[in-house]
Amino acid sequence: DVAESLTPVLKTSKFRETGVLTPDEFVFAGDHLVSTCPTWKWGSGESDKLKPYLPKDKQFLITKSVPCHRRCKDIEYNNAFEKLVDDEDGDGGWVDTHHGEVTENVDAVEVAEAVVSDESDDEALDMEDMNLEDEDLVVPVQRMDDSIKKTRTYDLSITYDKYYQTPRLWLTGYNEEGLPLNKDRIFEDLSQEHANKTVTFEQHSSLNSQQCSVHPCRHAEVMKKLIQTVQEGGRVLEVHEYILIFLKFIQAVIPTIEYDFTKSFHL
Amino acid sequence: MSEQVLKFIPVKSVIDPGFWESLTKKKLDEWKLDDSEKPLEWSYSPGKSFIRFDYDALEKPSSVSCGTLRNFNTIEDFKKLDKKEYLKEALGEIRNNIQNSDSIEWQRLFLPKIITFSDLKKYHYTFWVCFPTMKLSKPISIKSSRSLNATELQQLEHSEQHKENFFLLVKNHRRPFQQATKIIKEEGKDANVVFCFEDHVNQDETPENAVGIMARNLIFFIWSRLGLNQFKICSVRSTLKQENGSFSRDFSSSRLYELCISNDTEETNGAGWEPFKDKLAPKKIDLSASMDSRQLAANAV
Repeated sequence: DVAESLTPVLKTSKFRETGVLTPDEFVFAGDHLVSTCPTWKWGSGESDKLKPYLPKDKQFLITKSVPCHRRCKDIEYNNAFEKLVDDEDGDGGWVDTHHGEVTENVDAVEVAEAVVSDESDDEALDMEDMNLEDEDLVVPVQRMDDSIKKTRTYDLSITYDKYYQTPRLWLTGYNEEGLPLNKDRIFEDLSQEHANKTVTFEQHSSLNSQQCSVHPCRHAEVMKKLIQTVQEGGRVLEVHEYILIFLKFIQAVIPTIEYDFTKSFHL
Repeated sequence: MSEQVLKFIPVKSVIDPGFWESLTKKKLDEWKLDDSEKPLEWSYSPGKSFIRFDYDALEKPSSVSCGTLRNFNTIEDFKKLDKKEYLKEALGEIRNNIQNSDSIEWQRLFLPKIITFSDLKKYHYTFWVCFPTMKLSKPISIKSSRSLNATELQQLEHSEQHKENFFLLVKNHRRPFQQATKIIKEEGKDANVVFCFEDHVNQDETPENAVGIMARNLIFFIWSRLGLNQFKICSVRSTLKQENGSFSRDFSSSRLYELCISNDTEETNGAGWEPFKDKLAPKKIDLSASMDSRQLAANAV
């Protein structure tokens, strides 16, 4: 990426003024995330993609196999949070809006489909003499119930975007059979407001796979507003909390993906 | 109360899309027509129903938590492989690990296998995951099952810094799993050992008489190697709870089972090939949408 390679690494802390992070601050905030939310871990990624401005073993943050029980279109969610973020006056009410709060639409039943091609030669595998009946096995309730719940899982990762100087979120989705979801399927788990605007499908900056990513072009702006709003409320936001807050606002984009602290992190 | 029989909940496999990128690269640059078994890293996370093979599973297989991958050159070879025999060999290898080590690591109780055929022109991958587990001829009866007491829970909480997913509680103290053989040798069959394992099952979806399928190989180890017919296992299950802004694990949904294996029990055919849509069949994925475009982009520069 030419723009990124020409952007110098940010050295001075400016997060209160502009909502951006230095790589050191990213690591600091990432360490805080990992220590408070044990499902998140640091990863190093592909060796040919190492970013020299980040420690080798702290190139990006990752949490794996996060459940996603419902599709976005099956819920109605309250987007007051985003409205407040967009609101120039920033009236401070966003903290308790319970954005992303979901109400189930019971009528909607979705059938997930894997990226499987059904070519006739696959059917030829002769497995008749192998016994599928295993009387000791219990099929989990979740699977018996799968006409209602198609549980997908997601791997979420956060990289440092050198150009925008903010964290950046990446998504890999799997259907209930453990097969990767294609782009269109993943879009079903993104809020429709964002799916076609701020989400792109591109090469992960530390891994060798194409993933959905929430484009970071507005992150700094939103973070700046959040930081100011907190300050107007009389509290100083510390830089180590940056990624926790980042993930909280990211929830507006992926309201049905149940990463673990969304319910319990309060400012 | 009628006697309860222990049941098992299967695992599902998840393969990171980056894995296929890595396999493709290996096949083109390194293996070429070599279709022998390659070491393969795997992992599972407690409480998640999956065993996972990640993007670096072929790059950095560790010496202990290792399975194998066999990539066939043609779909015919893939089909021709005697799946039953292949499973039997894997079970035999696990049995050897168990019999030949006095201080076995828990990872050695497992030997996940993936067989693949990769059509690199189309970016289609046919694959089948096998997670071999040992079976016994008679059901395993549950003499008792209960939640953990305060002292036991405390041991789990205190030992959170430990990374090992299998361990022992001996007289309420945590000991490494590798010491199992030694402890039984020294203290005899009456040694009060609880064989603990971080279960892949989540308490929400689990009947009381069921544990994760990884327990099968653990039980086989206890029965065949340690010679115990009555013993205790603990399915360690946890949920995240938040306290003072940070998360910790709450182990109170863990269950301790006292199990009994009757004397005339024998080893019987194991199992392991993963079903797909309730059939024993391989899976096939088409990654051309993501991998092809990457190629195009790379070529365009």
